[in-house]
Amino acid sequence: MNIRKAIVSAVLIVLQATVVGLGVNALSPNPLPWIRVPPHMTRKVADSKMVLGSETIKKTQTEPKPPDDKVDKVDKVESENPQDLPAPVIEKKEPPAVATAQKPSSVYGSGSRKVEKAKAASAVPKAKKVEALFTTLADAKVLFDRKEAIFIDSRHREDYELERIPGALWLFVEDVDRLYDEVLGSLPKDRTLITYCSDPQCGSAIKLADELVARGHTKVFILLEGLPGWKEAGYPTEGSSVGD
Amino acid sequence: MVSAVGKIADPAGFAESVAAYRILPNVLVNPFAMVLPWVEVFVGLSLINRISVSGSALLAIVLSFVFLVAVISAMVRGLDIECGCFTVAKSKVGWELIARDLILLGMSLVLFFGNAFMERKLGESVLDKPAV
Repeated sequence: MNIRKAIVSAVLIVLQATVVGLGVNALSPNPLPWIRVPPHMTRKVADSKMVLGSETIKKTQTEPKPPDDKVDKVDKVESENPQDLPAPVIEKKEPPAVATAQKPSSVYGSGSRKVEKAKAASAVPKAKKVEALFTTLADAKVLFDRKEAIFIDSRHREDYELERIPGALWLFVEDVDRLYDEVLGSLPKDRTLITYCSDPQCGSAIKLADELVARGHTKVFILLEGLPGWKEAGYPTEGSSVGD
Repeated sequence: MVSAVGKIADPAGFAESVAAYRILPNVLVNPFAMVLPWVEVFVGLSLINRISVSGSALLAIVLSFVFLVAVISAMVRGLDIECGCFTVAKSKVGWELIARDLILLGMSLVLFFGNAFMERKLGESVLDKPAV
């Protein structure tokens, strides 16, 4: 067996694939960055005042809060006056649609036209990307106890049926287009929704929360610690694995 | 090749699926997600066109083995994750996936060693297209 020949041709295939893969990514309109930053490190945790509102905070000030060591790892969105709080989403400005049009004029005299184009481009309202924020286990539990939030499980159906936060609805993120009307279509857009999945790294709760924000929901949060954190804190669950 | 289409169409989703296995460090996740689907495409194209069959079969063995180890390790660690296989987020890591990877690994092994055996017997690969 000519193993050396096989290894050489395998290495050549990998090299070709590397060149094509990196080239396609470089030419893609939405290229992947070289280094991945986990989603739970790029977005913030909503302040308790934003999640609970001032009245609820007053009611719960005397209640003990569960340990929440993970929250310290990420920034919090602070607000002095809860009455003036904006909707709990972050708006991100997209880069200008015509990036090259904002460059200075060229030496061949077409610069003034380019500048005009740049002005026209800047006059067009830029599309804004909205992102849901994380919420802590403690705040989510307060909302759960007061039945002020709807929990939404973004995992697979079988996992949802095995174990979930009591009362949680199921909305699988990959089927949100098909299931949305059935699950959340009749709900007021200002109802507090908390999405969760396996943990901060699973990503589907984040994706689902952003989908819901894009559909007009104004109070959507992501449970930072996910279902494992909820269970570790000793909070209740239901489902076939826990005897409903 | 079929499995590569979904990954190439949704590289960000595939990168998230790769990250969910928690095997690669974050610095390697995206480069891996950029390149791996194209390795699958090139392996598939090579096998279909009967070019460098031994190299493609060797790569298919390596890929199937790596996928198998990744899935088993995810199951052992109790990770509830998407497999990131044919479609990026539709199928879950589980026994079905292990069975599929084992079949693919077996087929790749048969192809590689079968080709090597015939090459030794006949003096040339029966699968590789003859040089013109």
